[in-house]
Parts: sequence; C-alpha cells; structure tokens
Amino acid sequence: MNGDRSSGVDARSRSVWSDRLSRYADRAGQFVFGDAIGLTLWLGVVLLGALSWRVGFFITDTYPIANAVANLADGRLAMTPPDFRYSLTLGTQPGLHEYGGRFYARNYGQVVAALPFLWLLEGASAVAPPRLVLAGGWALGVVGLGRRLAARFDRRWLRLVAVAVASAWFAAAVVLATALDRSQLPLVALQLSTLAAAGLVAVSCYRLVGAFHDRRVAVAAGVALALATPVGFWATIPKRHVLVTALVFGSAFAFARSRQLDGRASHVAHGLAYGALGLVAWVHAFEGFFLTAALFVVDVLTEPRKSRRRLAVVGGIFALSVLPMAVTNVLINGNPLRPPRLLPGVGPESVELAPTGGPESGGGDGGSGTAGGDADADSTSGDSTRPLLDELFGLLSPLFVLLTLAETVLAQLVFIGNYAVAAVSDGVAAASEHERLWEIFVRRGDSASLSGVNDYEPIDLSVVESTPIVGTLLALPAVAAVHLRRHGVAVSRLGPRRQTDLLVASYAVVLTLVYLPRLPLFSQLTVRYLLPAIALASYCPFRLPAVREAISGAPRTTAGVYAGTVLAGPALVAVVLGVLDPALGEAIQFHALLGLCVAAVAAVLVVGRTVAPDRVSPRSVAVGVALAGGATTVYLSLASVVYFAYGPFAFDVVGLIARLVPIL
Amino acid sequence: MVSVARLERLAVAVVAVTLLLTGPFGVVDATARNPTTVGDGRANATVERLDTSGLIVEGGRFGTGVDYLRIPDATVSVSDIEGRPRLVYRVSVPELGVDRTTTQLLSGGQSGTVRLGMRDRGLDPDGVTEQRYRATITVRVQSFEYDQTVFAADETVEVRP
Repeated sequence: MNGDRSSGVDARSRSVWSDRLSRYADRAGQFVFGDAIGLTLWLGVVLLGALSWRVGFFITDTYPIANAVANLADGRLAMTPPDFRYSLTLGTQPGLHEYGGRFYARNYGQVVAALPFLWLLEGASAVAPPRLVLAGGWALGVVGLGRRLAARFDRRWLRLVAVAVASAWFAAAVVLATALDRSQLPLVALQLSTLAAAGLVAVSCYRLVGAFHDRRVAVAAGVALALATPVGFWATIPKRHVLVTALVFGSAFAFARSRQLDGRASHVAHGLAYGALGLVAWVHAFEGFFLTAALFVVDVLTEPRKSRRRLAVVGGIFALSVLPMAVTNVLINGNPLRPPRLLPGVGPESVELAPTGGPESGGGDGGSGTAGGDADADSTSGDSTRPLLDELFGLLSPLFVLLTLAETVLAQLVFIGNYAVAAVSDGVAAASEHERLWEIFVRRGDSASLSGVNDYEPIDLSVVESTPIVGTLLALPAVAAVHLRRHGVAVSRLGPRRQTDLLVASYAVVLTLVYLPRLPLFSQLTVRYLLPAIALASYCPFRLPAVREAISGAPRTTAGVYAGTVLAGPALVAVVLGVLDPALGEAIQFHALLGLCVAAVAAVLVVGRTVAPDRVSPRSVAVGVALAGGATTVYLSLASVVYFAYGPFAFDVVGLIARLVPIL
Repeated sequence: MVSVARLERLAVAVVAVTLLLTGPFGVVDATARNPTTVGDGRANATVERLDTSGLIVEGGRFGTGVDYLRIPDATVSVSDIEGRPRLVYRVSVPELGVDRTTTQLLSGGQSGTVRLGMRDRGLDPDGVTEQRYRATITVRVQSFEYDQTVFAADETVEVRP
C-alpha cells in the first residue's frame, strides 16, 4: 500500500540519517578523545576536578572574562558599565579594555568556548534548579564512568558501585541544596569550560605519549598531567592557562602524528599543529605568536617533506584557525592584528605579556615610529585612532582599501616582530639572574609576601615546590650523556619521537623565556604564567627510560603508591597541620617543603636508575615518582577544599566535608 | 534479580524526575531548607571558650618570613534559635591595621556548640615595632532586627620574639 511504503521510506531515510549522525558523532569523538580510554580519562578527570570546584572569583582578572561571557551570550561584544554583571565598577576589573568609549574583555577564544556550556546550563535551568543540575550532571557522569570502567576491566560490580555513589551523591545534594542563582551561570559555564579543557590536557598528553609508548605509560602520563601538576589547581579557576595548555598539547600531539603518518592524514595533522596555535592566539595573541614561531623553526629544521600540497593544507588550516581572532579584533577595533590586550586598559594595573601602546602610538618602547601610517591628526590622546572600519567605509576604491589594510597589517607585524625580539632578549637576559631563577624554579621565598600583597601571606609556590615530578628532569643530563655517547646528534636525522621532543622543549623554553622577566610575581600560586610550560615539562619525565620502565615494570606499585598518597596524604597532612595550627601561608609553605623533599627523592631515584640501573630497581623509581605526583594531588585537594575559600562549593556535600577539616 | 542496567536506568530516571519536581515548574523548592544568607531572627548565645591568651604576635614558621597575629578560636553555645540570625566573631588590633571578622549562620532547630575559627593574620615584620598592642574582641548575635553582644573584651596582644 502506498501509505505504508512511504512510511517505510521515511523510516529508512530516518535510519540513514541517524546512522550518519552517529557516524559523525563517533568521528568527532575519535578526533577529540582518540579512543575509549581517552574518553574515560577525560570523564574521570572532569568528575574528579569538579569535586574541588568553588563557584566564585579567585582572581579579579576573571571578572571581565565572565562579564564578556554573559554579554556575548546576550549578543553583545561591546560592553557599557550597565552591562557588567559581575563587579560593577571599572577599577576592580584587571584586563578590561576600552576602545571607542566601549569596554571589552580579552581572551575571547576562552569566552566563546564557554558559550556552549552556558547554553546547556541555561537550557537545563529552565526546568530544574541550577544547583541540582550540576549535581545531577555529576551523578550521570559517574554512572557513565562506571559503565566504561566496568567494560574496560570486565568487572560488573564497578557499575553497581557507580550507581550507588551517584545515587548517594544526588540524594545528599538534594538534602543539602543551597540556592545557586541563575545570574551565576555565565561564571559556572566559564569554569565548566576550563574544567573540560583540563580533561583535554589529560587526553592530549595520553595520546601524545601513546603515540610513542605503551598504553600504561600513556594513561599514567594523562592522569599525572591533570592531577599531579597545577593543571588541576587551575581547572575550575577559569584563567586562560588551562585552555592554552590543552591547545598546546593538542598542537604537540598533532605534530607527532604528522611525523608518523603519510599522505593526506599527515598533511592535515601538520596543519592542525599550527591550527591549535592559531586558536591559542584567539585566547592570548602573544602566546600564540611565540608558540607559532617556535613551531615554525622546529618544523623547518626537521621536516624534509615540503610538497606544495602540504604547504597549501598547512597554510589553509592555519589561516582558518587565526580567522576567529582576526574577526574578533576587526569587530572590536578594526585592526585584525590588534588584540584587545593592545587596547588601553581601564582596570587596575596588571602585568601583561604584551607591548604597551601600538604601532599607531608613534613611539614608546619597541614601537616603530615609521609605522604610524593611519594615525589620525585629530586624535585626542597619543594612542587613540579612528577605527579602521570607519576609514574603510569612507573609502570608495577597493584597491585603496586593500592597500590600507595591507599597510596596517604590515605595520602591526613589524611592531609585533620588534616586540618579540625585545621580549625574547629580555628573557635571555633574565635567564642569567640566578636569584630570580632560584625563586621561580626552586624555593619561592617571601619576597612577594613582604610587599604586602595578599595580606602578607606567602601563598606562592615555585615550579618544583608545586610540581615535584618536574624534579625528575634532573636526570636529563645523564640521559643525554648516555644517548650522545652511543648515537651522536643530527637534527635532520631525528625520528618522529625526537622531533616531537625538540618541539616540546622549544615550546617550553619559549613560553618560559618570555615570562621570565615578569617573574617572580605575586598571586602566581603555582607560577601560573608558566602553566603550559610546566605541563610540557611534566610530560618529559614520561619520556625518560627510567620512569617508563618504572611504570610499565611496576604498574601496581605506581598506582598503589599514588592512590595511597592521595587517599592517606590529605588526612596525614590535616592531622599534622591540625596539631601545628598554622596560618594560611605557613600551611602552604609546609607543602612547599614537602614538595621539595619528595622532588629530591624522586630525582635521586631517577638519576640513580639512569646512571646505575643495577643499583636502583624500577619499583623504587615507581615509589619515588608516585610520591612526587601524589604530593601535588594532596596539595591541590587541600588548597581547593580548605586553604582558598573564595566561594561556595559547586557541590554542597564538599562544603560539609570541608567544614570538618580543622587545619586553619 | 534486578539487573545492573535496570538499576542504572532507575537512577537516571530518579535524577530526572527529581530535577523536574524541584525546578521552576515543580512542586518543591529544594533550596528553601538551606539558607545561606542572614535574615531576621534571634538566639541565645554564651561564649564557652575563648582563650584570649592565645592572641599573640609571633614569627611565621616554614620559611614564611612574615609575622603572624595568632587568633584563637571561639566556642559558643547557642540555644533558642528563631529565624536566621548569625554569630559574629570580631577581633581588631587598630595599631596593626587588623580588623577580622568571621561569621556563622544559625538556623532554626540547630543548637549546641558552634566553633568559630578565624585565620591567623599575616603582618609585615617591619611594621611590628611595639612589645604590646591593644586588641578588642567581640562576639555578637546579629540579624536584621537584632544585635546582641554576648562577649566583649579589651585584651593585650603580646609580641613574642
């Protein structure tokens, strides 16, 4: 019959469509997470990270970003004071910029990344209370994680445990629920976006290590990156650092794949290595610039396959990836290469990795005087100019428009180039100041706290204090010496693995160098400016043979000691500090000393294993590395649950637990 | 026997239904029971323990390099709570520029002892020039309509080397 046949066709076309959709979803999932383990890892990291989540502003820099999320969701890029939802005055929002009488935030890539989360939250909150939406989401996530783990390890009881945990969690959330106002949702969305990015850091690191080594080492590296480095600290504190770290790792992984693959897949991966950095530029233009420069240099040095087709693919993807930044900049100030950070700031003074003024300001440090091509005669202050867009509309000849644009772009490039050279040479100069390096990398000391910031509390940690596993890199010279003695060195003959090492090292060095002159600085907590570099450095131990042998040779020891440290550590520290009754700064410096100690132990063991493999067993290296990783996790958990109480917890249950820990 | 998959589905369904029931179109306000802000109300309170001799200035440990004003916890017993008042514990040492407050919301039905902890305060070691400072300590029960001081003392803060 006619009707039946047509409904049959409908059903068939529907199933074709749903097939196609699920295929696309599978491919998207594969693109982001790689495989089932990657997805499980992401879910696990996000669910764990959420436990320490406080809905609040830890650092005032977040105000303008959160305001931008709220406004952009309403379709407004430019803000006026009545549009501010958080922190109503101008003087309290570092990182707020002004152009043409309107206000703009910065890091628009981060702002846009938060929007999908905001839409999801707004949608769910239309029918349910926001507080329970979060708890319900967490509970469902746990059920999903339980299913994945049960399937992976073939243990059905894991699903039962997950259902029990999820139900208890949600029940407790309902009983203890406090109000979470819908006006907080943009902030919550911003925090969710960086939490998701922290999960992606773990996944990208897992995939990067997995490209070269066995799966156990890869999983350990993924877990370590999220939970045993400050990435976990900044996961729900929505600064740009975690997002940039995720993109940088994405770039390094794409680079590694481009070296391993052939043909079209290799071209695309190669392009994506640049594309991820184009997106970094949307978050922080100058970090993106320096990273791209580093990638370009390593790329030219190591890639012999420079076909025209490859160049076209790479160039195309990179051009696409910088498009969002360029469009955002044009919409804000008419100049595609002038990010908000180069516009006059209206908040309190903040330390910036950006030149002051612009090429149009005609002078200043590093700005080229000749580049003031489109400076206005009628400008009221030195660096305010008529928007380029106005000019464009006024000009009739398209050729002339192009010329003007090219001139602006060129002027901006010259300006940025000059600045880049200055920034790197400043960094190199700062790298020879031993006291500075000691404070940044080893023992933080009290110089910042004595200046009275943060109520004289020494809350900052050095790189090794906050990330003891980086201490194991002391073995690098030994590894290098052993390797050089055997193989010698030749950059052009490096395999994919070594090429990626070179890239990771270049990224880490360039990101460290440009920030060195600005450090040590107050309110860095875990040297946050260096977070991407620290994360890259934390990947390196998993390339050391000694550490890899420890993980694959003694996986149970590694996992057991880490789990033991993470479970018993906070309780032990709480008991010790409960007796000592420290102030906030004392508690944090206690962790600093603890971190230095375990870093030293881990470093000695790894160096020992590298130099004298007969004397040090993989098992003892496993203990050392797991302790070092566990020390950071313990600090992260206590820091968010007890030390830094900047807002109510996303989950009221955690608040209840936190009240029972009498440390401070 | 109930299968795990059925339990999972049940849990998901319970979460979904609860969300709808407590939402804007639902019948229950889950958050009404757990207020977070002070309102009207009153309570009886007496300070059980406040070791004022613990209020001292001393050098920080673990290489902090700053001085600390150590502030003792206050243990307060509360009864007859009506509405949503709060306890306010305040310590001020004007000469050191210190004025710290910690609060604890009280809600009906809750009685017994409440511990009010206050974090030690970091000080510029160069700013601590005297041997002794004057401090004021107060504990109050406070609400929109009510303000009762249940403890007030002027104390001497000793600076320990």
